[in-house]
Amino acid sequence: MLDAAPNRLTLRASGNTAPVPGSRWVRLPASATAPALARDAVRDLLASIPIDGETGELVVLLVSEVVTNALLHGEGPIGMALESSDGQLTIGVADRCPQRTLELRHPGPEATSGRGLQFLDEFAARWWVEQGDGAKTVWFRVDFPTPDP
Amino acid sequence: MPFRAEAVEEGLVEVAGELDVASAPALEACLSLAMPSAPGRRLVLDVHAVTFCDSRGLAALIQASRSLPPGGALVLRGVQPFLERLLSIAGLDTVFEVQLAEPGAS
Repeated sequence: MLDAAPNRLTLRASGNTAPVPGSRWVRLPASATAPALARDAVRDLLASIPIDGETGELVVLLVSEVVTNALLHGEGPIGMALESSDGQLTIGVADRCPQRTLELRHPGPEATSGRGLQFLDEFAARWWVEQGDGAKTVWFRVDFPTPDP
Repeated sequence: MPFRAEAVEEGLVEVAGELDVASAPALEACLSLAMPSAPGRRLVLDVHAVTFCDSRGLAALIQASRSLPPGGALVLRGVQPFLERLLSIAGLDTVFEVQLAEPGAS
């Protein structure tokens, strides 16, 4: 089963044996439509949490970058885990290519590649990679201020 | 929003929708079609209806600016606030000529 391993990774990473409330799992095709489908899924989630518009835009951008990276450099299918809690969004994107590691570069303004990871490094509060079970998962966390109750 | 790109005439391309890995090849084809040949000519992209852009979309714009004739410029017309922020983050706001959208125009 192609989609079993990313799911296990998700559960292990969240430290739970069952999906936590506020978490979603989205399976994406290994095709050029994957980033758009991922963005739609994230926008759905953003609409249900008190996140400001500009931070939300950045989250959508980072999701598009990480899913595009999985599409171009991994092997399909792609799985995406979305977890939200107070003031914190954690997103994981899994592909079936555990060998390929990510290379963080610092491209100049006119570089045509390498920018996606640069955005991730600049705007995620944290990002990390998990490898194992025949899959690689890129995780990132974005913090956002919650309005006063 | 579905992606749409049209080479209106030499030097003018209209783009609408989301610019990413799926739509960038179509945009690149349009930019090639509309690429001016005479030195000093500008290539104008009307982007007022662009609703999203990621690094793959930016790469298409950079590629086009490199293909310009000597003294040419890539002009982004009708840039919405999200795209203005992205261009600034990427350090591209000084590489392209950026003309902001009228407030409220979409």
